[in-house]
Amino acid sequence: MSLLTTHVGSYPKPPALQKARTRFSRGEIAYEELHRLEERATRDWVEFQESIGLDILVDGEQYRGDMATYFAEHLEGTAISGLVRSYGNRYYKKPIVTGALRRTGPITVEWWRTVQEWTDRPVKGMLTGPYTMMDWSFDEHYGSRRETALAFARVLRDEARDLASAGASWIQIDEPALSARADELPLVVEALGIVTEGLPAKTITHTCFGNYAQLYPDLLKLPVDQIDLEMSNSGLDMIALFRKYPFTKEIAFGVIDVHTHVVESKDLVKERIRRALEVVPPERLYIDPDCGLKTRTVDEAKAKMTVMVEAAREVRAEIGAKG
Amino acid sequence: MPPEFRACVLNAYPRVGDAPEEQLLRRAIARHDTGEVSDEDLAKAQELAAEGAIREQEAAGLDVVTDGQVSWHDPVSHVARGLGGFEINGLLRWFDTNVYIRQPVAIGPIARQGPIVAPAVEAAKRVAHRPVKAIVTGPWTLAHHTKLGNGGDEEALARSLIPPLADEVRALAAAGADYIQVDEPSLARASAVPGIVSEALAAFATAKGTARLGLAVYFGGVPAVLPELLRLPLDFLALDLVQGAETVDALVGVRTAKTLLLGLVDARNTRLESPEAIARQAMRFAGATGSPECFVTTSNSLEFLPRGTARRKIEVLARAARIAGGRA
Repeated sequence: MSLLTTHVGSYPKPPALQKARTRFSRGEIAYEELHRLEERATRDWVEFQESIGLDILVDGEQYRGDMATYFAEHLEGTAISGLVRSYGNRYYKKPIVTGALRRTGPITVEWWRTVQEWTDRPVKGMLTGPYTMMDWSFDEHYGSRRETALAFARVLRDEARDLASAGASWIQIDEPALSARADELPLVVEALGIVTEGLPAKTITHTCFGNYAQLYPDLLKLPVDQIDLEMSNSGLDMIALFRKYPFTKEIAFGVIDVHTHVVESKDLVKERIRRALEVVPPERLYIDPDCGLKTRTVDEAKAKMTVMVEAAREVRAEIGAKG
Repeated sequence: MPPEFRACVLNAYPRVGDAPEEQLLRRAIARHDTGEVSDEDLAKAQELAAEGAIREQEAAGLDVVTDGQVSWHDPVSHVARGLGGFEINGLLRWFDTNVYIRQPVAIGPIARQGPIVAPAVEAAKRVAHRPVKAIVTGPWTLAHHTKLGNGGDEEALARSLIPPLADEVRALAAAGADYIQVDEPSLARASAVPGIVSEALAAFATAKGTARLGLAVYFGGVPAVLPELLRLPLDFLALDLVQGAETVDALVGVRTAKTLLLGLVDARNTRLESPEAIARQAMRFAGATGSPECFVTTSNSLEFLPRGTARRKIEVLARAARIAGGRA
């Protein structure tokens, strides 16, 4: 099977869940009520993904706030800061490393297990990578970026192993920060390597919104089977580089811009897929959006994913017809 | 004469905090995006947020204040939008931070429609009890973050931005800005000062009126070009001495009569500095350089910190300046 479709991670939270999260943070509702809504929303997204025929599913991260903060909240040695601006009018609470990092138990495994029981299609285990956890945290303890990244790597290695033991055959370790400092790519490779070494699962890393031209082809040194790249936001610029230095790993190729309300036409998405096929063979090409869709409305996210899967299906048929 | 020590923020201040009353601007922008809030009401919310930022800086004891740049979408697209000739495109990481700017794409001739930053500075002047510093992003950094078409020339684009930005400097002076700071973070780690930057500052110096003109470089040091920067037609130079700590050796080796803004307080980490330690560093640099006036400031934008932490950091700035100046 080629041109498999998947998703990067998050889906938008329905308004009822958003309200419940606010009310829970104010102590107005019990955790059980919030959890019931998280589970309902997660189940809806799983059913939606199955209904459009997505090949590799995600749980949609309905129970997570920020992707770094979520993990920090479940670790010893951390605190959570007040709001900090990310871009435009979006803000998040950053982790603060206040002491030695320690995982007191599995963080994501129960959710993964629950969701995998609902579907026959594979569900990805989703982690935020050690370099990104370091780069997106304030460090008040280790005093060194390397020490902090490696400390996160050790706790995430244990989490990844628990996911694999539970049966996760696809494990994605997101590193959106990896382009922050080009000279630190060796640190990303080292830290990510601690998490993926010997892991009995297909390993993926997702990254986005950076200057990847300066990191390529060294990016291919990342110790994972598949690299998931945002391509549409940057106008498919990287394709020219892939012609010069072939992309030797599997690629998940972002064909949906997640930062526009406009739903792409099927023809535009098909064109992007065809452009990807110019540089990567179909058996190593996965189709997904540029990034998580949590900043879109539920309707926009559904429309974008539907167009994406239909476009991939049609291009798959074209290739089949030619073959 | 012993040097004077003062305190100010480098540029931005967090526009949103965790308390509900610190979220008014956030809500106004969200409702403006959906058409529920008019342009006028959004502008009012921005003025209120700026006033809040100014009040906090004054309460902390800063000697010069900014409007916190609370109305800026980001340091690049906010200025590019007002200069015309650009389309605003997708997200681009802002240096090595987890903050993203909207990247401008050069699509045609530059045509400034009117004041860009000046109206907010004029509003700040109406409510501030201390001198006001205006910020404008410089042509080198703007051009460097712009996506150029085929055959596009970054240097030519930067040069074309000088006249409209000089007009903006003139507008800022007319708006009453006491200090005008040109931010050129893309100069960090430069091996030479680009001719464009010298040309731009010469043009701005003729447009600044009675305001004091300065240059700020952050996200890294400037050890190779420090003497050159100090020869530019500037009244003050702002340096990042945290992420740009490599500038320190160069700094203690130069003499200058210019005002220095010493970015000693880390705006990218929540850990609080000791005012005494910061004061000692400021006194060391003032003594070594002979600068008659040194501001203790943040290494870069305080928007990288939560507002509660930013409040504590500016208290450190003010206290360090008082200690260094023998006023503690």
